[in-house]
Amino acid sequence: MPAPDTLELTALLDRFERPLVRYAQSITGDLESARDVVQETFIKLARGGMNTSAEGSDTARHTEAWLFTVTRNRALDHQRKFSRIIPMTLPEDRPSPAPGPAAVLEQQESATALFRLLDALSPNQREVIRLKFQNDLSYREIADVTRLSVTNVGFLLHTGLKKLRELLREQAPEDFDLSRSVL
Amino acid sequence: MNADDPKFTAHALGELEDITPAERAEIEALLASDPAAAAEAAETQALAARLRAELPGEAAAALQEEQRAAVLQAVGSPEPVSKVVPFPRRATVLAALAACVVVGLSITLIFQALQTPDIASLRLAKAKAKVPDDQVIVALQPFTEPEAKAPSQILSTPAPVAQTLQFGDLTVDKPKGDLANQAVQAPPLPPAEELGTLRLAGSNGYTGATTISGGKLQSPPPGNAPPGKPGVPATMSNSKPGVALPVTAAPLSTATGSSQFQTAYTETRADPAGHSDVAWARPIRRFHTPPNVSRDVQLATDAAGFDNLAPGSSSFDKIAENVFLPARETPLSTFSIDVDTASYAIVRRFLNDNQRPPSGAVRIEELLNYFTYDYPQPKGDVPFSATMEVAACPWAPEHRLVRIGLKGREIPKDQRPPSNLVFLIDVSGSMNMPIKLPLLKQSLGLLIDQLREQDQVAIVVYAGNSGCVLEPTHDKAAMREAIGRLEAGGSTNGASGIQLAYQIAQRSFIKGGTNRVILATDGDWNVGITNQESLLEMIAQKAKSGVFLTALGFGMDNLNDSMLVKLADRGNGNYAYIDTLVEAKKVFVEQLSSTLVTIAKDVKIQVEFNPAQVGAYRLVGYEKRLLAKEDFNNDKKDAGEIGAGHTVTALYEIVPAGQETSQLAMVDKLKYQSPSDDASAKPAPPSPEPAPKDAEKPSNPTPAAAPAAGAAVPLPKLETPVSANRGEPLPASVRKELMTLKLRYKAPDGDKSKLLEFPLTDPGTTWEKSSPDFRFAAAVAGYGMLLRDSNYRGQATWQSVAEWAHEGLGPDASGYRTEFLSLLEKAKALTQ
Repeated sequence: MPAPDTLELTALLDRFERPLVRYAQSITGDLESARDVVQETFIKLARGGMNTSAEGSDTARHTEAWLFTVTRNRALDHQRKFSRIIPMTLPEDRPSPAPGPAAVLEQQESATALFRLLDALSPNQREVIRLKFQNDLSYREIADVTRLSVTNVGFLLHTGLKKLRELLREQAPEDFDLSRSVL
Repeated sequence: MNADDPKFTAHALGELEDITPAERAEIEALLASDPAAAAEAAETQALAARLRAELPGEAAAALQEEQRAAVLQAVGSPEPVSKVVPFPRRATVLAALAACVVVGLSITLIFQALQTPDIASLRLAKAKAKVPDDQVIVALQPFTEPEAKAPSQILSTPAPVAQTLQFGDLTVDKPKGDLANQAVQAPPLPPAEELGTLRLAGSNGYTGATTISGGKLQSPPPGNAPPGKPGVPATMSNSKPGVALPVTAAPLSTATGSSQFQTAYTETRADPAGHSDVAWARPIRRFHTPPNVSRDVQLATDAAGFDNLAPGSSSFDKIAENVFLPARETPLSTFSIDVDTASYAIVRRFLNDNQRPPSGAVRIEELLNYFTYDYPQPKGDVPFSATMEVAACPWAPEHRLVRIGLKGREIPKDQRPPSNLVFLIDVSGSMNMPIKLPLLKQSLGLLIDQLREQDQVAIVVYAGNSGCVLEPTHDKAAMREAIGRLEAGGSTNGASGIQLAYQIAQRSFIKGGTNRVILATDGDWNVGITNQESLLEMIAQKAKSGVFLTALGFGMDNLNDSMLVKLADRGNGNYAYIDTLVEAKKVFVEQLSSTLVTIAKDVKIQVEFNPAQVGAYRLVGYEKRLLAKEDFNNDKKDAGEIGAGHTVTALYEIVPAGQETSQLAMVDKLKYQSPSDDASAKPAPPSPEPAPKDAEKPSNPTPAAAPAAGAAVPLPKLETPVSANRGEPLPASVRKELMTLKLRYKAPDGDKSKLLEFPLTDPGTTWEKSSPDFRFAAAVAGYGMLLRDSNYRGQATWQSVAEWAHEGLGPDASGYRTEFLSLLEKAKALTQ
């Protein structure tokens, strides 16, 4: 894809800015640098920074993977640059009309149970799970973005999901009615 | 092929791309023949469905309008040379809380718990150094009549300069009406009236050096905003010289609404990449991620980005040091007191483990306040005394160093009000280490020994679940028995435990007594980020009910220091780190009253510097306690508590007016207003070369600018300052003043603050004439700066710091100062 025009870019912004900011934030740990990173990514795209790659006929998918890859690299650069310590992903605040603290606590008991469990995974497990289920990337796309091998991605997802299942069972046996939450 | 093969999972997820037909056939055969495998696959699919349903629901912020505009503007333009301009960052708390950190500490700290040099043996060493103990005792007794008794028996220096400001004999007329709360709407009132004059103890007798021209007790001033700067939002400037922000018509709308928020939570940020031209203005607040990572399967993948994570890490917030601020542009410096001492013990633990502490763990104010200083007891009804001393700054002899000391009223053991204590004890699996739960049990045993009949204790434990293991009781045997039974196991769910603990504390509330939740944990909480914020909110809420918090940190492998700092801060509490039984003894035996009994809350300090005398100033430490200047008079703004007998010490490094300094934080000239715009609000005519005035900046040493790179900035000396009110010249004595110290505090159960003011004039004291306590405090600050590799350490070296500490050792009855000397040795060896 050559440099997109304003219309295309707006469409891409609309579609990907939020997922990308969220993803960047899971790496940088704070929203503002995540926004900077995503802005830089899009500016690179706008300036034709994405090489027209022959491989992959699906240009939309390719653009998506490219955006995630660039975002990830810049976010990691940012981290290395500004911090000796690498924050790991934690869910950002979920939108809520700010009820009282106690109510929040109770409500989140269930709503964020899953996010809390995610925290217990290793960063790389968490990252592939995010890319897979939050952003619907395929194994190969995840491999491209993270520069892992497809086998590694498969292994991370496998162990991550397994751990998650164990945690779910352990933490809330009565809640482990997965069929219910599928609905 | 079995269910434990990644391909099996891939198949369940419908990822068939990289599965060979043979593998696929094998998997499908397995699914058909093995019900267990089929169940596994179904479970995986159900989980996947749940993840697909719930993960995308996570909040995802968009870019800001300006950022989108900048992106669209870039369409078609060639790849640029310059970098993207970072946009002004909103220092929102939420963004800050989103940050989560694992410090790269590689373990090994664990099993060396009780190796800190024994205080007893230090005492012995000290005794050999010929410091008679009886003198020690005399010296530690608070002198109630300092003007009558020069402290020569205490201080061996001939001319002690410590200036004691007693404000005991004040008759405090409460101002009519609730001025503080009405302040915003109230019409302008005449300047605060003088309600009483301080009796100045010790100002004539033994110092002759510091002049004190009389303190005032004022009613809360009308209006929160200083005159002449109405409604100026505290925006965070984030400018890069020479680069115009590609802002379209969109205003920086974020700045106005949340200015107070921003300033309150702002920290400057040192830029390790050397971008000294970028002024960072946002909080670096990070939370800890649960350490389960360490127990996790560590994968052998060595991909980029996954290689920097050390398993089992403690979490320390970064601290960017306060910078020098020009007294003329930012004459007010405002901060909350802090009585936490945890940082000292944490640093000690690192040093004793032969490791250099991460700079984020070195909080200079906590190092300073670990030690008690010889400040006089307060007199009259006022809960604490204030002391100021100024002398040459040892690490920059051309500068002056001001020491501010507060001391809370001592309460004798037998007069301590009855206590209602709820121990909230983390018994999760991570506590199962010698320096955690066992030490915790011993520590609480020490505390129980100190309790009296009228004190009651309840115990709540939390792990995966929380529960009350001891209902409130006065029975010490029952307490000991319950403590003895504690065992570690399970995961950690701190939130519900905290709720239960506060519930119990409120249920058994003792009016007029000490009501306190004592949280003991390694801080390793598997709560999500939102839960952490709401937890903090809840704690702040509970603190209003009169139940305060003490946070005790244990262990080092995954200590969540930053969370405990915040909990103690929001919960009207204090935070101590227990690394040894000796430290437990300090907290629970020697300083029990300080730990338990709060005598004043929301204690804020505001210093106004006189630009005729002060070119620039720098608050040493207290980076996490900075307040906006408006917060000082805002009684809704939470601040630190002071306990019975607590001493609080703060240092300012001052560049005298007329001196040049290369370290001054300057901001760029304003684009839309000339410095003379608000000259009417200034006490002086504009100087020939006016420095740019940043009216939007918070008054305290918050970030807006990083030190200008190397450029020496001349500090204009003011001519005759005139009174801000009447336009008349100030009296000569006032013009000579270095600064005025203002204090606000509330009674522990009050919600209206009282104001106290004390001016300070610099008598030109040399280092040689400074008091031992002054020297010791300077040594502690030097130690902190060296450990942090501070840009401001000046001439400080381990050698010189040790000399200052020796000079300031004093009687040292407790042995802590002597221990400090041994830590200096360790630090010196480690850093060289």
